[in-house]
Amino acid sequence: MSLALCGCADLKSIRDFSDISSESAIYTAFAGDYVKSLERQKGYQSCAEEKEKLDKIIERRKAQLSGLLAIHKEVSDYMSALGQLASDEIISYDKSLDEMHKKMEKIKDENGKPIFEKKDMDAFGALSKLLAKAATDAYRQNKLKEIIGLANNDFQELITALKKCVEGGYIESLKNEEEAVKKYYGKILKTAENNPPQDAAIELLRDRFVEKKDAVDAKINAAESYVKILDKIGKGHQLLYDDRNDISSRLLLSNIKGYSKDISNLYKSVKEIRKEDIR
Amino acid sequence: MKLTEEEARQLAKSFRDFSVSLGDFRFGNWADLSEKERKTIEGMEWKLLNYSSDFTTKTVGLILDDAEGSLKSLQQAAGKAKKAIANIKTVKNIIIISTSIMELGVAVASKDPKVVASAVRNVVKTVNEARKK
Repeated sequence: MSLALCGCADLKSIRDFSDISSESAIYTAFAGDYVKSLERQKGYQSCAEEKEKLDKIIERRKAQLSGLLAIHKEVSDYMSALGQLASDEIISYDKSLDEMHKKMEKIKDENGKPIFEKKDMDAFGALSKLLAKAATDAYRQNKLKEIIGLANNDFQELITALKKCVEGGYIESLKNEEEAVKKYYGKILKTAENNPPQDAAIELLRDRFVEKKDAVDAKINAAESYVKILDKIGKGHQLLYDDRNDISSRLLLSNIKGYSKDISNLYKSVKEIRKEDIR
Repeated sequence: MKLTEEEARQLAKSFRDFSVSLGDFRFGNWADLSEKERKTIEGMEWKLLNYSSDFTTKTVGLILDDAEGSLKSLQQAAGKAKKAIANIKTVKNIIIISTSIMELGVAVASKDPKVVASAVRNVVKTVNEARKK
Protein backbone atom coordinates (compact mmCIF):
# COMPACT_ATOMS: atom_id res chain seq x y z
CA MET A 1 0.00 0.00 0.00
CA SER A 2 2.70 2.44 1.02
CA LEU A 3 4.74 1.52 -2.11
CA ALA A 4 1.73 2.27 -4.32
CA LEU A 5 1.12 5.60 -2.60
CA CYS A 6 4.62 6.82 -3.25
CA GLY A 7 4.91 5.15 -6.71
CA CYS A 8 7.89 3.13 -5.51
CA ALA A 9 8.56 0.03 -7.57
CA ASP A 10 9.66 -3.35 -6.33
CA LEU A 11 12.26 -4.20 -8.96
CA LYS A 12 13.70 -7.27 -7.26
CA SER A 13 12.99 -9.43 -10.35
CA ILE A 14 15.11 -7.11 -12.48
CA ARG A 15 17.82 -7.15 -9.82
CA ASP A 16 17.81 -10.97 -9.73
CA PHE A 17 17.86 -11.22 -13.54
CA SER A 18 20.76 -8.76 -13.77
CA ASP A 19 22.71 -10.53 -11.05
CA ILE A 20 22.43 -14.05 -12.53
CA SER A 21 23.17 -12.65 -16.01
CA SER A 22 26.24 -10.85 -14.71
CA GLU A 23 27.47 -13.96 -12.88
CA SER A 24 27.03 -16.28 -15.87
CA ALA A 25 28.41 -13.77 -18.40
CA ILE A 26 31.73 -13.63 -16.54
CA TYR A 27 32.09 -17.46 -16.85
CA THR A 28 35.20 -17.41 -19.02
CA ALA A 29 36.29 -21.07 -18.79
CA PHE A 30 35.30 -21.60 -22.42
CA ALA A 31 37.53 -18.77 -23.65
CA GLY A 32 40.59 -20.35 -22.03
CA ASP A 33 39.69 -23.84 -23.26
CA TYR A 34 39.27 -22.51 -26.83
CA VAL A 35 43.08 -22.15 -26.83
CA LYS A 36 43.76 -25.36 -24.87
CA SER A 37 41.60 -27.43 -27.23
CA LEU A 38 44.05 -26.74 -30.06
CA GLU A 39 47.02 -27.48 -27.79
CA ARG A 40 45.46 -30.88 -27.03
CA GLN A 41 44.88 -31.50 -30.77
CA LYS A 42 48.57 -30.81 -31.41
CA GLY A 43 49.41 -33.57 -28.93
CA TYR A 44 47.72 -36.18 -31.15
CA GLN A 45 49.75 -35.30 -34.24
CA SER A 46 53.24 -36.49 -35.20
CA CYS A 47 54.15 -34.41 -38.28
CA ALA A 48 56.60 -31.64 -37.22
CA GLU A 49 55.57 -29.32 -40.06
CA GLU A 50 51.88 -29.52 -39.13
CA LYS A 51 52.71 -28.99 -35.45
CA GLU A 52 54.59 -25.82 -36.38
CA LYS A 53 51.54 -24.53 -38.28
CA LEU A 54 49.38 -25.30 -35.25
CA ASP A 55 51.74 -23.34 -33.01
CA LYS A 56 51.08 -20.24 -35.13
CA ILE A 57 47.33 -20.76 -34.96
CA ILE A 58 47.58 -21.24 -31.17
CA GLU A 59 49.40 -17.90 -30.90
CA ARG A 60 46.59 -16.23 -32.86
CA ARG A 61 44.02 -17.74 -30.49
CA LYS A 62 45.97 -16.52 -27.46
CA ALA A 63 45.93 -13.03 -28.96
CA GLN A 64 42.14 -13.30 -29.39
CA LEU A 65 41.69 -14.12 -25.70
CA SER A 66 41.81 -10.50 -24.55
CA GLY A 67 39.05 -9.56 -26.99
CA LEU A 68 36.89 -12.48 -25.87
CA LEU A 69 37.42 -11.72 -22.20
CA ALA A 70 36.68 -8.03 -22.79
CA ILE A 71 33.23 -8.90 -24.16
CA HIS A 72 32.51 -11.25 -21.25
CA LYS A 73 33.59 -8.59 -18.78
CA GLU A 74 31.66 -5.74 -20.36
CA VAL A 75 28.41 -7.71 -20.55
CA SER A 76 28.90 -8.75 -16.93
CA ASP A 77 29.77 -5.22 -15.73
CA TYR A 78 26.81 -3.69 -17.53
CA MET A 79 24.36 -6.24 -16.05
CA SER A 80 25.90 -5.76 -12.62
CA ALA A 81 25.39 -2.00 -12.87
CA LEU A 82 21.77 -2.51 -13.99
CA GLY A 83 21.28 -4.83 -11.04
CA GLN A 84 22.59 -2.26 -8.58
CA LEU A 85 20.35 0.40 -10.09
CA ALA A 86 17.36 -1.94 -9.77
CA SER A 87 18.25 -2.84 -6.19
CA ASP A 88 16.04 -1.52 -3.41
CA GLU A 89 19.10 -1.23 -1.17
CA ILE A 90 20.32 1.73 -3.13
CA ILE A 91 17.17 3.71 -2.37
CA SER A 92 16.62 2.40 1.13
CA TYR A 93 17.15 4.88 3.88
CA ASP A 94 15.48 2.76 6.54
CA LYS A 95 18.53 1.97 8.64
CA SER A 96 19.99 5.45 8.72
CA LEU A 97 16.67 7.21 9.25
CA ASP A 98 15.65 4.77 11.99
CA GLU A 99 18.87 5.53 13.86
CA MET A 100 18.29 9.29 13.60
CA HIS A 101 14.69 9.04 14.73
CA LYS A 102 15.60 6.91 17.76
CA LYS A 103 18.15 9.53 18.82
CA MET A 104 15.67 12.34 18.33
CA GLU A 105 13.07 10.53 20.44
CA LYS A 106 15.49 10.56 23.37
CA ILE A 107 16.18 14.28 23.24
CA LYS A 108 14.54 16.06 26.19
CA ASP A 109 13.88 19.72 27.00
CA GLU A 110 15.19 21.55 30.09
CA ASN A 111 12.35 20.02 32.14
CA GLY A 112 13.33 16.50 31.15
CA LYS A 113 10.32 16.08 28.87
CA PRO A 114 10.85 14.56 25.39
CA ILE A 115 10.72 17.27 22.75
CA PHE A 116 8.71 15.03 20.41
CA GLU A 117 5.98 12.63 21.35
CA LYS A 118 6.54 9.06 20.21
CA LYS A 119 3.47 8.98 17.96
CA ASP A 120 4.66 12.14 16.18
CA MET A 121 8.13 10.66 15.69
CA ASP A 122 6.66 7.44 14.35
CA ALA A 123 4.53 9.30 11.81
CA PHE A 124 7.42 11.58 10.88
CA GLY A 125 9.74 8.58 10.57
CA ALA A 126 7.41 6.69 8.23
CA LEU A 127 6.76 9.75 6.10
CA SER A 128 10.40 10.75 5.77
CA LYS A 129 11.32 7.25 4.60
CA LEU A 130 8.60 7.24 1.96
CA LEU A 131 9.50 10.70 0.70
CA ALA A 132 13.20 9.89 0.52
CA LYS A 133 12.55 6.65 -1.30
CA ALA A 134 10.02 8.17 -3.70
CA ALA A 135 12.36 10.97 -4.68
CA THR A 136 15.12 8.62 -5.72
CA ASP A 137 12.85 5.85 -7.00
CA ALA A 138 11.44 8.06 -9.76
CA TYR A 139 14.99 9.00 -10.74
CA ARG A 140 16.04 5.34 -10.62
CA GLN A 141 13.22 4.14 -12.86
CA ASN A 142 13.85 6.90 -15.39
CA LYS A 143 17.54 6.04 -15.47
CA LEU A 144 16.84 2.34 -15.95
CA LYS A 145 14.50 3.18 -18.84
CA GLU A 146 17.08 5.53 -20.39
CA ILE A 147 20.05 3.19 -20.05
CA ILE A 148 18.24 0.07 -21.24
CA GLY A 149 16.94 2.07 -24.20
CA LEU A 150 20.41 3.33 -25.02
CA ALA A 151 22.22 0.01 -24.59
CA ASN A 152 19.88 -2.58 -26.09
CA ASN A 153 21.19 -2.64 -29.69
CA ASP A 154 24.82 -2.90 -28.66
CA PHE A 155 24.00 -5.37 -25.90
CA GLN A 156 22.23 -7.65 -28.39
CA GLU A 157 25.23 -7.33 -30.77
CA LEU A 158 27.63 -8.41 -28.04
CA ILE A 159 25.46 -11.31 -26.87
CA THR A 160 25.24 -12.46 -30.52
CA ALA A 161 29.04 -12.11 -30.85
CA LEU A 162 29.59 -14.22 -27.72
CA LYS A 163 27.14 -16.87 -28.95
CA LYS A 164 28.90 -17.01 -32.32
CA CYS A 165 32.32 -17.29 -30.64
CA VAL A 166 31.13 -20.21 -28.50
CA GLU A 167 29.29 -21.94 -31.37
CA GLY A 168 31.53 -21.09 -34.32
CA GLY A 169 34.79 -20.99 -32.38
CA TYR A 170 34.81 -23.15 -29.28
CA ILE A 171 32.31 -25.86 -30.19
CA GLU A 172 33.81 -26.22 -33.69
CA SER A 173 37.23 -26.52 -32.07
CA LEU A 174 35.95 -29.26 -29.74
CA LYS A 175 34.47 -31.13 -32.72
CA ASN A 176 37.91 -31.01 -34.37
CA GLU A 177 39.40 -32.27 -31.12
CA GLU A 178 36.92 -35.14 -31.10
CA GLU A 179 38.01 -36.05 -34.64
CA ALA A 180 41.68 -35.85 -33.60
CA VAL A 181 40.97 -38.28 -30.71
CA LYS A 182 39.25 -40.68 -33.16
CA LYS A 183 42.13 -40.57 -35.65
CA TYR A 184 44.80 -41.05 -32.97
CA TYR A 185 43.19 -43.91 -31.09
CA GLY A 186 41.61 -45.34 -34.22
CA LYS A 187 45.04 -45.90 -35.78
CA ILE A 188 46.53 -47.50 -32.66
CA LEU A 189 43.50 -49.79 -32.26
CA LYS A 190 43.52 -50.84 -35.92
CA THR A 191 47.26 -51.55 -35.79
CA ALA A 192 46.81 -53.61 -32.61
CA GLU A 193 43.81 -55.50 -34.02
CA ASN A 194 45.86 -56.42 -37.06
CA ASN A 195 48.78 -57.64 -34.96
CA PRO A 196 47.32 -60.21 -32.55
CA PRO A 197 47.32 -61.29 -29.76
CA GLN A 198 46.82 -57.98 -27.92
CA ASP A 199 43.33 -58.35 -26.43
CA ALA A 200 44.13 -56.84 -23.05
CA ALA A 201 46.01 -53.91 -24.54
CA ILE A 202 43.20 -53.30 -27.01
CA GLU A 203 40.69 -53.30 -24.18
CA LEU A 204 42.67 -50.73 -22.26
CA LEU A 205 43.13 -48.59 -25.33
CA ARG A 206 39.45 -48.72 -26.11
CA ASP A 207 38.61 -47.57 -22.58
CA ARG A 208 41.05 -44.71 -22.86
CA PHE A 209 39.59 -43.72 -26.24
CA VAL A 210 36.05 -43.72 -24.83
CA GLU A 211 37.21 -41.71 -21.80
CA LYS A 212 38.81 -39.05 -23.97
CA LYS A 213 35.86 -38.88 -26.35
CA ASP A 214 33.37 -38.61 -23.49
CA ALA A 215 35.37 -35.74 -21.98
CA VAL A 216 35.15 -33.80 -25.23
CA ASP A 217 31.43 -34.62 -25.59
CA ALA A 218 30.80 -33.33 -22.06
CA LYS A 219 32.48 -30.05 -22.95
CA ILE A 220 30.40 -29.77 -26.12
CA ASN A 221 27.23 -30.25 -24.03
CA ALA A 222 28.33 -27.61 -21.52
CA ALA A 223 29.13 -25.17 -24.31
CA GLU A 224 25.73 -25.76 -25.94
CA SER A 225 24.05 -25.03 -22.60
CA TYR A 226 26.08 -21.85 -22.31
CA VAL A 227 24.82 -20.71 -25.72
CA LYS A 228 21.28 -21.18 -24.33
CA ILE A 229 22.22 -19.03 -21.31
CA LEU A 230 23.45 -16.24 -23.57
CA ASP A 231 20.27 -16.52 -25.61
CA LYS A 232 18.12 -16.10 -22.47
CA ILE A 233 20.16 -13.11 -21.31
CA GLY A 234 19.64 -11.48 -24.69
CA LYS A 235 15.91 -12.20 -24.72
CA GLY A 236 15.50 -10.98 -21.13
CA HIS A 237 17.17 -7.68 -21.92
CA GLN A 238 15.04 -7.34 -25.06
CA LEU A 239 11.97 -7.78 -22.88
CA LEU A 240 13.18 -4.99 -20.58
CA TYR A 241 13.78 -2.81 -23.62
CA ASP A 242 10.34 -3.50 -25.17
CA ASP A 243 8.55 -2.69 -21.88
CA ARG A 244 10.92 -0.07 -20.53
CA ASN A 245 8.15 2.56 -20.39
CA ASP A 246 6.41 0.47 -17.77
CA ILE A 247 9.39 -1.11 -16.10
CA SER A 248 7.57 -1.92 -12.89
CA SER A 249 4.64 -3.71 -14.54
CA ARG A 250 3.70 -6.97 -12.89
CA LEU A 251 3.72 -8.88 -16.21
CA LEU A 252 7.22 -7.73 -17.14
CA LEU A 253 8.59 -8.53 -13.71
CA SER A 254 6.92 -11.94 -13.77
CA ASN A 255 8.35 -12.74 -17.23
CA ILE A 256 11.81 -11.57 -16.21
CA LYS A 257 11.60 -13.82 -13.17
CA GLY A 258 11.09 -16.76 -15.55
CA TYR A 259 14.25 -15.88 -17.47
CA SER A 260 16.24 -15.63 -14.22
CA LYS A 261 15.11 -19.10 -13.20
CA ASP A 262 16.02 -20.59 -16.60
CA ILE A 263 19.46 -18.96 -16.61
CA SER A 264 20.12 -20.08 -13.05
CA ASN A 265 19.24 -23.72 -13.85
CA LEU A 266 21.28 -23.77 -17.05
CA TYR A 267 24.24 -22.18 -15.32
CA LYS A 268 24.14 -24.79 -12.54
CA SER A 269 24.20 -27.57 -15.15
CA VAL A 270 27.12 -25.92 -17.01
CA LYS A 271 29.17 -25.75 -13.82
CA GLU A 272 28.24 -29.36 -12.93
CA ILE A 273 29.30 -30.69 -16.34
CA ARG A 274 32.58 -28.81 -16.25
CA LYS A 275 33.33 -30.13 -12.75
CA GLU A 276 33.18 -33.70 -14.04
CA ASP A 277 35.62 -33.14 -16.92
CA ILE A 278 38.09 -35.96 -17.22
CA ARG A 279 41.49 -34.50 -18.05
CA MET B 1 37.81 -10.07 -51.38
CA LYS B 2 37.52 -10.24 -47.61
CA LEU B 3 36.06 -13.39 -46.09
CA THR B 4 32.88 -13.01 -44.05
CA GLU B 5 32.55 -14.67 -40.71
CA GLU B 6 29.89 -17.04 -42.06
CA GLU B 7 32.10 -18.01 -45.02
CA ALA B 8 35.04 -18.70 -42.72
CA ARG B 9 32.82 -20.86 -40.52
CA GLN B 10 31.51 -22.82 -43.52
CA LEU B 11 35.05 -23.40 -44.77
CA ALA B 12 36.11 -24.64 -41.32
CA LYS B 13 33.26 -27.12 -41.33
CA SER B 14 33.92 -28.25 -44.92
CA PHE B 15 37.59 -28.95 -44.21
CA ARG B 16 36.65 -30.96 -41.13
CA ASP B 17 34.05 -32.92 -43.12
CA PHE B 18 36.70 -33.75 -45.79
CA SER B 19 39.08 -34.88 -43.04
CA VAL B 20 36.39 -37.07 -41.46
CA SER B 21 35.48 -38.65 -44.83
CA LEU B 22 39.13 -39.48 -45.57
CA GLY B 23 39.51 -40.96 -42.08
CA ASP B 24 36.41 -43.12 -42.56
CA PHE B 25 37.85 -44.31 -45.88
CA ARG B 26 41.24 -45.13 -44.33
CA PHE B 27 39.77 -47.10 -41.40
CA GLY B 28 37.11 -48.74 -43.58
CA ASN B 29 39.71 -50.00 -46.11
CA TRP B 30 42.59 -50.57 -43.71
CA ALA B 31 43.51 -54.03 -44.85
CA ASP B 32 43.27 -53.15 -48.56
CA LEU B 33 45.60 -50.16 -48.31
CA SER B 34 49.35 -50.45 -48.13
CA GLU B 35 51.12 -48.85 -45.17
CA LYS B 36 52.48 -46.14 -47.47
CA GLU B 37 48.97 -45.37 -48.75
CA ARG B 38 47.59 -45.25 -45.20
CA LYS B 39 50.36 -42.88 -44.16
CA THR B 40 49.76 -40.57 -47.13
CA ILE B 41 46.02 -40.43 -46.49
CA GLU B 42 46.58 -39.88 -42.77
CA GLY B 43 48.89 -36.95 -43.55
CA MET B 44 46.17 -35.39 -45.72
CA GLU B 45 43.58 -35.86 -42.97
CA TRP B 46 45.63 -33.97 -40.42
CA LYS B 47 46.39 -31.20 -42.92
CA LEU B 48 42.68 -30.77 -43.67
CA LEU B 49 41.79 -30.83 -39.95
CA ASN B 50 44.37 -28.14 -39.29
CA TYR B 51 43.02 -26.01 -42.15
CA SER B 52 39.66 -26.34 -40.40
CA SER B 53 41.18 -25.09 -37.13
CA ASP B 54 42.76 -22.20 -39.03
CA PHE B 55 39.41 -21.13 -40.45
CA THR B 56 37.73 -21.53 -37.05
CA THR B 57 40.33 -19.14 -35.64
CA LYS B 58 39.67 -16.71 -38.53
CA THR B 59 35.93 -16.91 -37.77
CA VAL B 60 36.50 -15.79 -34.17
CA GLY B 61 38.83 -13.01 -35.33
CA LEU B 62 36.16 -11.65 -37.69
CA ILE B 63 33.49 -11.81 -34.98
CA LEU B 64 35.71 -9.90 -32.54
CA ASP B 65 36.51 -7.24 -35.16
CA ASP B 66 32.80 -6.68 -35.80
CA ALA B 67 32.03 -6.49 -32.08
CA GLU B 68 34.48 -3.71 -31.28
CA GLY B 69 32.08 -0.82 -31.91
CA SER B 70 29.35 -2.33 -29.77
CA LEU B 71 31.83 -3.02 -26.98
CA LYS B 72 32.75 0.67 -26.73
CA SER B 73 29.08 1.72 -26.76
CA LEU B 74 28.12 -0.73 -24.03
CA GLN B 75 31.00 0.57 -21.92
CA GLN B 76 29.43 4.02 -22.19
CA ALA B 77 26.02 2.70 -21.16
CA ALA B 78 27.52 0.92 -18.17
CA GLY B 79 29.28 4.18 -17.30
CA LYS B 80 25.95 6.00 -17.30
CA ALA B 81 24.44 3.38 -15.01
CA LYS B 82 27.36 3.69 -12.59
CA LYS B 83 27.02 7.49 -12.62
CA ALA B 84 23.31 7.19 -11.83
CA ILE B 85 24.14 4.86 -8.93
CA ALA B 86 26.72 7.38 -7.68
CA ASN B 87 24.14 10.19 -7.93
CA ILE B 88 21.62 8.19 -5.92
CA LYS B 89 24.27 7.49 -3.29
CA THR B 90 25.10 11.21 -3.18
CA VAL B 91 21.41 12.05 -2.63
CA LYS B 92 21.29 9.36 0.04
CA ASN B 93 24.28 10.96 1.76
CA ILE B 94 22.66 14.40 1.57
CA ILE B 95 19.52 13.02 3.20
CA ILE B 96 21.51 11.33 5.93
CA ILE B 97 23.53 14.50 6.57
CA SER B 98 20.35 16.60 6.59
CA THR B 99 18.72 14.38 9.19
CA SER B 100 21.80 14.54 11.39
CA ILE B 101 21.69 18.35 11.13
CA MET B 102 18.00 18.20 12.02
CA GLU B 103 18.97 16.16 15.06
CA LEU B 104 21.41 18.93 15.97
CA GLY B 105 18.63 21.51 15.69
CA VAL B 106 16.44 19.54 18.04
CA ALA B 107 19.34 19.02 20.41
CA VAL B 108 19.94 22.77 20.55
CA ALA B 109 16.24 23.22 21.40
CA SER B 110 16.75 20.95 24.42
CA LYS B 111 19.40 23.38 25.75
CA ASP B 112 21.28 20.41 27.21
CA PRO B 113 24.99 20.89 26.47
CA LYS B 114 25.73 17.16 26.61
CA VAL B 115 22.99 16.43 24.09
CA VAL B 116 24.20 19.24 21.84
CA ALA B 117 27.79 18.01 22.01
CA SER B 118 26.71 14.47 21.11
CA ALA B 119 24.65 15.76 18.17
CA VAL B 120 27.57 17.88 16.90
CA ARG B 121 29.88 14.86 17.08
CA ASN B 122 27.30 12.85 15.12
CA VAL B 123 27.06 15.48 12.36
CA VAL B 124 30.83 15.52 11.98
CA LYS B 125 30.99 11.69 11.91
CA THR B 126 28.14 11.49 9.36
CA VAL B 127 29.77 14.03 7.04
CA ASN B 128 33.15 12.28 7.25
CA GLU B 129 31.61 8.88 6.48
CA ALA B 130 29.67 10.34 3.55
CA ARG B 131 32.85 11.86 2.15
CA LYS B 132 34.60 8.47 2.25
CA LYS B 133 31.83 6.82 0.09
